[in-house]
Amino acid sequence: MAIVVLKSALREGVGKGVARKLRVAGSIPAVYYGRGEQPIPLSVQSRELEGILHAAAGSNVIVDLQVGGGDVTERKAILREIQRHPVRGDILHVDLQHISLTEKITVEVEVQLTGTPVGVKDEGGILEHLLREVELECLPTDIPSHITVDVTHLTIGESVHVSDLKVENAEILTEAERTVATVVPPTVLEEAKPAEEAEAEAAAEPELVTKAKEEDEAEGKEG
Amino acid sequence: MLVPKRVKHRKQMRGRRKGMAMRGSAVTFGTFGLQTLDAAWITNRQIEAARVAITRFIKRGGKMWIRVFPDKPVTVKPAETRMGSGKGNPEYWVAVVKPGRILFELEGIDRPTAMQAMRLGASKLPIKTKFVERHHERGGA
Repeated sequence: MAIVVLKSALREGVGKGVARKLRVAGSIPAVYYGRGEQPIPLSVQSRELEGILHAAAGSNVIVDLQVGGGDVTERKAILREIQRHPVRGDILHVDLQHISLTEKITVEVEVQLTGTPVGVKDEGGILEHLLREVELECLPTDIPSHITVDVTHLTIGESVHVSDLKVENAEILTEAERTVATVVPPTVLEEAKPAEEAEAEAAAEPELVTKAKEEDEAEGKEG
Repeated sequence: MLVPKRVKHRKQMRGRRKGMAMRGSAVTFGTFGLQTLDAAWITNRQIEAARVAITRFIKRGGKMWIRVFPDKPVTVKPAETRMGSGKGNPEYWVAVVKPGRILFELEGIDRPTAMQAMRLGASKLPIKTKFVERHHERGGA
């Protein structure tokens, strides 16, 4: 587990006005919180944070948070939540959660599939990746950057379940019977309906919920 | 074509399309997605045309998800009718989308094929769109 240093400054004032000014100035509003600690509003440099996220470890990093200018206080944290702009994709806000390196925490770790399944290569099936993240409980230093699963042996109809995943020094909290990946038969192209039929289908009005209720009640009275 | 099975009211008010899509703006099911950059009413015919264009291009491979549903009825008054006499009749259905909304998702095909399929699908829609990919991030939108 990578430990990276992230410099931050105490944020004076809260709310969208302050947050917008910070974003214009190239910073990102952040909050640091944890068990038994008062939440601290912070701001971090946007380029520094993007650099950390683009590094090999991705968002699974332990942050060595340095708060303040002169009076430097070091705190260990993880990036608990990252809010992004829906269209531009730039970071709007970051949650930093305090962690203790000796206490177990719950995190979500990405599941990556490797290899091309036999069912895809030879039988023309489609590999469906159903579960992309699993929940783990482990020490912060033992958090894997991702979990790799080999799917080469899968034929059509076969699956990999959470119980098949192996992670060292961590307990998987996600239900063991959940499917991680499966190979399904190829989709068959639907034959296009004649234009008239399709139009008739579209023109038919859907049933009204209130009407259906009234009918049910009337039937109840008769019965 | 996508049409609701049951509705509470036959006719709806038009509403407003302020802001961005705060939900449904991340690629969730597949690997690749088509994201809107404008706000619009997308009709069920447009959704169907885009779906057909995409599925025809990817042929047998891959899986596709439609992330929007046209659940809003649009009424139209007959031609050459004087104003008044109530609201028109429901004519078609639309999905209200705001910038950032993911419309379609694809999985099980390579990136160039997905890009081309989405490009063909996007040409059937009345809005600007962009091709997006999934990226893993904790709590990321």
